[in-house]
Amino acid sequence: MRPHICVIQFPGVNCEYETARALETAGLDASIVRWNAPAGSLSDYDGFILPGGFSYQDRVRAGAVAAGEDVMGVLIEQAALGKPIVGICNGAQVLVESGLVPGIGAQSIDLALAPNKGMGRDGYYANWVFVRVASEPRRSAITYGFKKGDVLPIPIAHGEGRFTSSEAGLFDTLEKSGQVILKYCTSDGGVAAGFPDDPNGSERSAAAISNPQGNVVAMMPHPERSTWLRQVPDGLDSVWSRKRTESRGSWDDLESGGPGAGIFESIKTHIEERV
Amino acid sequence: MTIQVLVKLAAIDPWSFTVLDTLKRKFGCDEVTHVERVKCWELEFRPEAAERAAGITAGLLRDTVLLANPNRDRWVIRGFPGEGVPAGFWERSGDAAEAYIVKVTDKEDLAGQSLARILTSRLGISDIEVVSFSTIWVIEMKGEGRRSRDLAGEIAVARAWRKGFLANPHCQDAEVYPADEYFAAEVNRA
Amino acid sequence: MVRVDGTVADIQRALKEVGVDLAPDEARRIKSLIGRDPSVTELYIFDIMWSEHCSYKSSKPILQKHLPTEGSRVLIGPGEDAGVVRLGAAEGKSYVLVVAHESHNHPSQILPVEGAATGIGGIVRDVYCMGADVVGVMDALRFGDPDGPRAESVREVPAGVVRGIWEYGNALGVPNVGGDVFFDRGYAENCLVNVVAVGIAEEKEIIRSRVPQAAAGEAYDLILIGKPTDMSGLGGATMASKILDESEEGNLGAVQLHDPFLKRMLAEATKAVIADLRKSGIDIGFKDLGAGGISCAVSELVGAGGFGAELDLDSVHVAFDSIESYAIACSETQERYCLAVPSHASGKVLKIYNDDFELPHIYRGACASVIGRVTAKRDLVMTRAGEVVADLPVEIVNQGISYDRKSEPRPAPAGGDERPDAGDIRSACLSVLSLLSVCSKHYVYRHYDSEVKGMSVLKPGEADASVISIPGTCLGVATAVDGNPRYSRIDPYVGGALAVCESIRNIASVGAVPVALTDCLNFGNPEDPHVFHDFVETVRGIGDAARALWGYGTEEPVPIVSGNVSFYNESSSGSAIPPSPVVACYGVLDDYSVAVSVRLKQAGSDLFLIGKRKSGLGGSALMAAAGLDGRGRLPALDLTGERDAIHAVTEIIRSGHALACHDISEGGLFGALAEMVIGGWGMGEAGAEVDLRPDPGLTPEDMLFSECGGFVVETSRTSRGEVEEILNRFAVASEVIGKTVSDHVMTLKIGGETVAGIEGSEMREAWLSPVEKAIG
Repeated sequence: MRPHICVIQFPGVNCEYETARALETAGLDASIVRWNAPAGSLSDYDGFILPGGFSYQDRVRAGAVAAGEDVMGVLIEQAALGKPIVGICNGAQVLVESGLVPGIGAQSIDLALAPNKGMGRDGYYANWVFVRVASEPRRSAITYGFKKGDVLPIPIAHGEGRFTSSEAGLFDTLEKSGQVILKYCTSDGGVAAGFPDDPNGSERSAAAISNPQGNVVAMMPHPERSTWLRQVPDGLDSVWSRKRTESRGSWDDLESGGPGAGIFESIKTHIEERV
Repeated sequence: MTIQVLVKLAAIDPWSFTVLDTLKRKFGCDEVTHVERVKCWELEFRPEAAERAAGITAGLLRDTVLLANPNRDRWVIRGFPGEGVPAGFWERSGDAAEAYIVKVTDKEDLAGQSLARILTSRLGISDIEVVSFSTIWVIEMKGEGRRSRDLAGEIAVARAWRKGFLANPHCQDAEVYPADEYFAAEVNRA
Repeated sequence: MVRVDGTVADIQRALKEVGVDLAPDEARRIKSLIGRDPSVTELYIFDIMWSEHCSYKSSKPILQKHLPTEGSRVLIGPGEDAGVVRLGAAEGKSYVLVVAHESHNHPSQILPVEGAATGIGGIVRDVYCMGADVVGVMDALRFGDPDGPRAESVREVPAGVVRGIWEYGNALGVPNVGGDVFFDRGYAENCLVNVVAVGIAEEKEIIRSRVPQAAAGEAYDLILIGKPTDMSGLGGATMASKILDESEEGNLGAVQLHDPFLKRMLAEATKAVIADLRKSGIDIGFKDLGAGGISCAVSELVGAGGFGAELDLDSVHVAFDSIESYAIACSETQERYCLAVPSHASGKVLKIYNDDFELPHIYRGACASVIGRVTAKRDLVMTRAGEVVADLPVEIVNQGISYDRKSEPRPAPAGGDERPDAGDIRSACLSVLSLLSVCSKHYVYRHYDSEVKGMSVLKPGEADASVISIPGTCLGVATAVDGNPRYSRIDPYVGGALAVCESIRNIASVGAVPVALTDCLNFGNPEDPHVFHDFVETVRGIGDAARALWGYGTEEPVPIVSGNVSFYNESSSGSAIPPSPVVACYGVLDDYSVAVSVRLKQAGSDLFLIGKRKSGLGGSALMAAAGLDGRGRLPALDLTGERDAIHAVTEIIRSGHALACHDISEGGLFGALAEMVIGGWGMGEAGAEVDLRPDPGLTPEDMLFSECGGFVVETSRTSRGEVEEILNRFAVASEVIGKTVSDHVMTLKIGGETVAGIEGSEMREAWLSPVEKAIG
């Protein structure tokens, strides 16, 4: 039986359809469920994705309004059961604003995804970047299929993606416990020294952070935009770009898995191994 | 000296509606009756430029849309002795007993820095030392006294799930004041 | 009732009193059409329906005369909210493309952020209401010279416009699939913001903007969905057709706040409503509300089906109770739709919008309400508090008016084949590359989300056209938008024709076959005979090119299926924009996997030059860089040659021989080669070594910089024979002009003699940085 994932449609998200397609491509079933669905209808799902977009148009702060919805109460319970809950971009902002990530205290809010800085202008920034798998594969629900140190080209698109905290020592703790799952890096996996390798000035170049158990992950990059090889731009300094260029003329190759497909496949493995 | 420009929309503000609706329906704050959003620019002039401050600020509002756009916004300029918020810009609604403001400022004030850069590099204005930008949320409540004050404080800072809302303390600072007091006070208190 | 009697001055006074812009003659005409004095609400309805924006009163006869609008792929041509053409079948489904194209110029000049944002808001509504999902938007932007006079106010406009586009488009979740940005002194006081929306649907999903015939047999309700009606934009359509005067108080109401959040929720809820109604086999009519608001949308919706309507203005959800009847009838409040459904289904529809998707919690006062019913009697009747405030035959409301404008050629420009002083080719190259209209627009498009929906194949900047795929199929859709005012300034006919040629060339450069065009025609005051002549010539040029450049594999014109005319783009100080046609082209790829970007792929490839080099530097980037814009002679237009080159390139790419391709437009042959070396995203690695054959009729500048069309194609040396065979078959002037090399350097020779050698990194720097410096 294929694991069944619930993709939560908050008002104003906009990546729910391609996220569901990416899940299905990776061998999972996906249902898009409205934010105000009855609480009882959610407990049958094997996992949850909070897709990207602009829930409530980022009013007040990205993710802040959606974080207050009843459905987040359900997700807090489901997270405690160990089910994977992955927030992508705006979904990551919702997880941070609800305290599910980093999930150290009892839903205490210990992080922020603050406005990007370091790019010489303010506002939204959309481009391809590289991220490095910074933790052991089985540390989080999104990395089962990778090796520590793997480098993926992947697109970002956000105005508020800078992981930060005013709590002294928090990032040391997160790093020590392996909760920093993905880090922005150079094309060869080196440390991102600033814009554009590090696109937003995130603390420790963090691109994805999990809860202590690793089943709840807040990631800013968009794996559903790099799930198929055709989505990879040509010209990046990456084996994926060269593969894409060589696949010209072959629809089958261009529709095969891209660098982000492994994120969804990992969620599947995580669920299967847990059961 | 500091010149403060308070700006609000000359139209219905969907953001304020979302905040009100969220506070009432998700945070159980039934006491809140009305929410208003005011953008707040603070231009800190060099002491020796105090006399030019009024003219420069008026010029910015007249010749540019950097602080406000007359086709969209209404504003007041404060910072001179004796100034307050003129009647009509903000008045407590009839059904509200108390009103507080929550002033939220990003710790990395990119909007302020960005305007400061434009002022010096593009417009050649060197009299302004610091620009800062904040969002002021005016929260009107029907309850009175201590409970209202506590509630405003709770709403101001997001600490845990459904506990606090308007500022994330990891990237923003929040200040809470009684609204009448804040708007009546002089910007450049001794 | 408003008395339409007495002298012109009497009528003028009466019209002014109620605040409408109609001319006294027009008011008299209304009176004779309806046989009595009109009510205030009725006057407002005519004021909007007869505005330039709604009635095309100046342009309609010209457009009908010159533009081809039909073709075997066309399902719906101009006249409805959007054009619809067949794309092709895949996986057992027949797909259609739904396209709309409009201007939002004046509002963007007044309030750049909100104007540009609501521009997207308006155009996507046109596509959504046909039952399609919007899969892309493009913006064609024209701004003043940021280094010219009034630099500060000129710079604020692009900064705000870009913000408005990303704030709206990114939040709505509609990918940006291209566009262009042009800086020219002619737009200092009148920016242009032209917006294109591209939708995809299955053919059977298309919904018409008309009440279905089923309404003859059963009761149909009219449901208004979305924002509460307010005063905003009142007279907006008339506003869009008036000369801009920044001091005018009336501008206050012309622009509204943008709300992509509500728009997204409306789109999702509507999807659910339509799916539900379709499941029950219920026929519906659906239309968006734009200029003219309720009265315009309802009269068109019922009129197209041969019906009338009775509206109860008291049941319209409004922002405040004291709002006047004429405002309810005519306000152009954003984010609203009108739906005609059988009365028995109304309850279900209201529940989906109001309860399932909680519209009242999404925006204060937003909801779906039944506001009236469809009638067999073909009248538009509106009541308020039990009193009739408008009662007009639908036919009269919809028929519009038309004017015969005077047209008079401008005096012939002096001077002939003017050129810049012959100088160093290398420095000319660098100054062309860093010209604002030539250089990279990455600073702009990195603000835009071009990958949401996950359909992207080639993204903005990577190639001459963007390509998206229809998920799960081989079908690709290519989109591009073009228009160069420098050509139009010298010759509006050629400018119009070249806008079509360039947009089709862009589509061909990725291997796609054009299936449709849309246009937005931006001009000054049509009451000026010179301006109107420019307009007529432009339309003639567009029509001739669309007819001559038939799509590969067909012999029919590329149809123009939708578009918009924007007149009065001039300020009160009298400065008018140059003739500014903007043409968008949409192409189909049966197999998107053949599509290529502009970046050179490897060393050792052949570089084919396709299309003849011609004499004439007029309109070129070289002339503009030398400060000679508007002077000189345009290269001769040869539409047959264009077509042959386009078809040959299409065949080369479709047969899988092309590694990279770039059309030759701004910056000429040099510009094309340079961008192939730099790479569309600045990530090029291979260099180029080019040696051009001397031609006694051409100067080195003609060869390198003349903007006379054509293509550069990179092909593998092993396929040279096959490529030459294709080129011979299409009888196209072509030659191998050089090869790609592993050093990232471009070497240009003429007759074996080096005229310029430039490092890739130097070109890259010159090309990547100017826009940020200018408007950042």
